[in-house]
Amino acid sequence: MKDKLIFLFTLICTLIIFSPFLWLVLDLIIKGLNTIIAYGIDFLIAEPPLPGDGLGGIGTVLEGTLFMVLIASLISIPISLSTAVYVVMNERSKFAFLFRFLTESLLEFPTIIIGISVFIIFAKGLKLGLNGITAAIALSIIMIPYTTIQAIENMKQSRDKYLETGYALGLSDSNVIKLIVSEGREGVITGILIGMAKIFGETAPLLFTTVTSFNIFLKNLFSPVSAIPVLIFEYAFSPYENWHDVAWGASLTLMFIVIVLFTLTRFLIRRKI
Amino acid sequence: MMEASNAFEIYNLNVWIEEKHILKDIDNLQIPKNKIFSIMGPSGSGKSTFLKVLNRILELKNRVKISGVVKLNGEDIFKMDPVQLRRNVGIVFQQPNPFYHMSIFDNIAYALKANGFVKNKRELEERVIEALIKANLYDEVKDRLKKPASVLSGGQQQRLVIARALALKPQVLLLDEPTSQIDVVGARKIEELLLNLKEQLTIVLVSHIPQQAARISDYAALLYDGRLIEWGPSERIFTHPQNELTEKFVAGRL
Repeated sequence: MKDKLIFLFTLICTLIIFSPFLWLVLDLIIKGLNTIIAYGIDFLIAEPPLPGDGLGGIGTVLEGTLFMVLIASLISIPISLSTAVYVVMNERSKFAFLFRFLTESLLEFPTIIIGISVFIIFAKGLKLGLNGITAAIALSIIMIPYTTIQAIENMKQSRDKYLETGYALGLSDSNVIKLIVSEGREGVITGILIGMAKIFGETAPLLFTTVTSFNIFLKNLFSPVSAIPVLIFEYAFSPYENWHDVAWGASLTLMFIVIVLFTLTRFLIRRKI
Repeated sequence: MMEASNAFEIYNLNVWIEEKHILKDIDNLQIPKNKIFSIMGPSGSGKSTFLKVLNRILELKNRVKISGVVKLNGEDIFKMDPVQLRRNVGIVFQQPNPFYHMSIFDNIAYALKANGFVKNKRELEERVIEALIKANLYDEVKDRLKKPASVLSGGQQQRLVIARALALKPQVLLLDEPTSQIDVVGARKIEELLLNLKEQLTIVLVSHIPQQAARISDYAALLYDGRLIEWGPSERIFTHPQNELTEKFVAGRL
């Protein structure tokens, strides 16, 4: 009887804690789907509407987000991988300790400060301006610690398993590293996906590095560009009903992308175990 | 020049790991070619450390200090390129450790390819099959070479690991208690395999079971607390040991 009561009590507590979250998600799904169904699948490719001028799509900002995440990944992955390899293969060196310490501190760093620093150094100082590349630099700084730490943890496991074996088979240093990276590859990919999921929804640094005109498709690498989270932020606070609707649809799209990425990482992590 | 009859010759070998003196003055120990040489001793006597000195795997550890002379075919191993040395002196560890993320075939092919030992696909296949046959594993796996190594039993995995080492055609094979983690039948198969292999290479086997050493080795040595207590032909070591510790160990009382 007592056990049942405790069980019931914890269940009720859990429901109370989760109910606002569930309500939020349900609300988001209903309102988001309303917009997407009303406008059709073109929602993902069309330009956003003018104020008060009916529904529109999020094609421009979806393109912008995908472009930034792609460039940010291209910057982060090689840096993360080489840092992880260095830390794992030279664990006792002072540099490895320093790299690891810096990476871990970066994880806790306020992203708005990363945004403003990139704005000052790259957009202003190096005159890169506000575009996808500048934004991607800021996003890559946010992505690197996630990808690096995950890669370090996984490569450490494969190092402990295969370092001696690799050398015992007469492999050279570079081949031993290849063996360790290839054995830990699922973990490394998981780290990359976690990092990508993190930056897909990142808003703060983009407020400093992107533009707030949402009707421009990319023309070249340095065209001004915006992103889904920035559109949501701007549209949600606008006085126009139709922009609110587009923001709901954009929110659902963003949540969907992030959930797909997280599901993929869960799947990869489980396979590894 | 007359070819040396010993694979290894060891003089005044001392090893410290993190300031701890692990191997103490191992001197005048000769490991003859094409024989099975057993290194026996209770846990913590320095057997594995000794084995790992022979192909310089021990040096991968942090804070290791080694002094003394170890010669392979008359040449000082500490003056050799460790990568070349390890291609000549293979090692098999206690725990079967195939590359679980690779197929049975690739487990053996990997080092052959990475070390540039084969010219084409046909040669690679030949070398892989040859190694599996040598390790008495081919008949059991020939229909599932593309399956992951994890489908094999512990004993089969250990023979796969032996095949992986044999594929590089080493002169010496070091084995660190290779049968301690597998069942009796699997262990017996590995013992038979080692007896067949000694025609082609020198085998140094670490064993904490005196019966196993007695069954298969031509020579045996006893290490105790990092010191070499006694070594010689197995027949003499197991029937007329000269040291009291050896007598006790052989009788299972140490």
